[in-house]
Amino acid sequence: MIGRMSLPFRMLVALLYIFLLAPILIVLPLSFSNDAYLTFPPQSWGLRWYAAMFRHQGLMEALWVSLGVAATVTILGLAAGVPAAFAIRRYEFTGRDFILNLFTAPLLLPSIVLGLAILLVFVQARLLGTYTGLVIAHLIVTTPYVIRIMLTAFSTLPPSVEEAATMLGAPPFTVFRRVTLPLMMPGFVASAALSFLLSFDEVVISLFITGPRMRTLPVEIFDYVESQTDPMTAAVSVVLVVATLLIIFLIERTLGLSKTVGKS
Amino acid sequence: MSSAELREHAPAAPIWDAKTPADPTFLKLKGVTKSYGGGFLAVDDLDINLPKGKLLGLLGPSGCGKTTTLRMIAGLQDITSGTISIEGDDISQRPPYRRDIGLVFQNYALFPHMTVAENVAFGLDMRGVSKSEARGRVEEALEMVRLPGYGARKPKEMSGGQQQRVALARALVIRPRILLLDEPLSNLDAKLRDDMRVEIREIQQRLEITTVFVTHDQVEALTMCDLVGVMHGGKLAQLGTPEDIYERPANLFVAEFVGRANVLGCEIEAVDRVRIGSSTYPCDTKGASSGKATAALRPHRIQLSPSRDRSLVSIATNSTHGKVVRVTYIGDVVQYDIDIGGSVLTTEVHTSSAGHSFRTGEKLLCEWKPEDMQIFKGGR
Repeated sequence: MIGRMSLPFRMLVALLYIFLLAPILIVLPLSFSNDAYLTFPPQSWGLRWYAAMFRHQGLMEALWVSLGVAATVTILGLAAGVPAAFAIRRYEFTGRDFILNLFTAPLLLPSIVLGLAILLVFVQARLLGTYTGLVIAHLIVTTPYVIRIMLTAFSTLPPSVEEAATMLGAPPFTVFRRVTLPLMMPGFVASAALSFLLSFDEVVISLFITGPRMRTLPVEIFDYVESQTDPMTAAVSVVLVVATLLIIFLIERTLGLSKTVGKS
Repeated sequence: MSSAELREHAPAAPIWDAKTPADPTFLKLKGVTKSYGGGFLAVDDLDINLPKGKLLGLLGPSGCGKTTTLRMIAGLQDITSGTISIEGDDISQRPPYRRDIGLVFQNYALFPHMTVAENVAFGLDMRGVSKSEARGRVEEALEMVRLPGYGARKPKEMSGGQQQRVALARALVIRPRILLLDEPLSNLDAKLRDDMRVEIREIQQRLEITTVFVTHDQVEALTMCDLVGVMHGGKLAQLGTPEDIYERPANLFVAEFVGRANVLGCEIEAVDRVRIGSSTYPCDTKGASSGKATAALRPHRIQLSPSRDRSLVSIATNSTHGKVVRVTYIGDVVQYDIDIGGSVLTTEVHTSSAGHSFRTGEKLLCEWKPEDMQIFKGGR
């Protein structure tokens, strides 16, 4: 917004914030309930459901699966997306636009369509309910974001800066390590964080391909809510919100720092 | 050792010592050609010999191939055919990072994530120069570009002119075999450009470093360079000293591109005279004795005086009568556009505090020396 916001506009923004944050405002007190059932407001207070959450074997297993999948997806997504974005931005080749559109098409498809398509393919490939299957499915969702973010990052780096390093005697890999990589850091951090969160958060596609032996945390929570009505899900939600906020905060700090040195 | 101490201990230590006699072909381009798909020749069979320690300016309009030539010397672009050698050492196929060539970019291309000192030290680091020696050489280089003590700053904290000087220090600190400058002044404002022009030339001469300078600005080319290569359509239209280029242009393109010129269609009558309109003018036709030609005449080489009888005019000069159609006051000069019957001559007269002497509609006598009229074969 340019200039100062008018009063009605500020009220609108406040309303929108309340709308967006309302679930959290209810979940937070709920998580500190000691009741056996979900009631609002809670009758008794305590940390009972936080303790129960950490003792729940299914949830804890799913948490580790989710963390592992998200980490793998982040690394593989960057490994695939960064060179792809670099090639698309820096080189002229036939079919460049086609490849760009192909790589970023999943951004436009509804998850439910993607999930169904992946399910059909994975049945054949025997990838349902496997770690590999989960990673591949999540990569389809996250890689387009990595490519998009890195395209923007590469376009802000003038080629002459790399050429200057070359002329000063740096072989191609040294140019990448000493010049390109440090200047791309904000883009890397943003892509990595987004990939991680997207994968960790993914429900729709995961629902299609997880099985009894291999569940992600969101799927486990989803199942739990369907069968139980105790406040443990509120405790889980609060933990997830806090963890996400922590990641975002860390990124904001590192990105903020990088930006102060990364812009010419 | 602090930078202040370094300055005291080594006040004017030359970072360069190249007192060897001039080699007539230090940098040699032989048949250098760059073609792109579809047969387009960006650079067409270019031959250049540049003696050691000289500054060559490649001058031309955009798309003439001057930047491509520079990038081929640097190794940032492949050459399609031909060879580039430095002191007889063929570098045509060598990767750019092993050519030992300094390059200063138009947009400076400093590393934004490094300090000024780290920027300048980068090339030394690549060459395995020890940290302590590098520190001394970086400070020397920064002193050379009049930025001592600026090492700890980040590029974005500096002005355009300062960034340009850091780029120059970074390119020179590695003691490159040749220095390439790609339109280094075009991003600076006019006043700073004048200062940097003098400064770059001064450093280049002090280090006696063989330099190729790409520019589209004729003032830069004429004032800074030992040799000027005017490029047109991928070819060298003329290669010579600034005076050659200006006084003895090899062709109409050079005559029109460097400086200003009145261009008049004419008919060659004999080897020593041409006819423009109904009048005949003595001049040197460079051996041609007939056919259509074009005459080029610099505006300030035309003398103006109030109209008088032509029979009183010296036969050693060319002259014609005309009527002032436009007066343009520029500051240093006044431009008079004079209708000489069919065509308009642009002329320039230096201004004085007495004001300018002629008015629109006034009848004048225009005179010029035969040698100031350049004749080029062929019509326009």
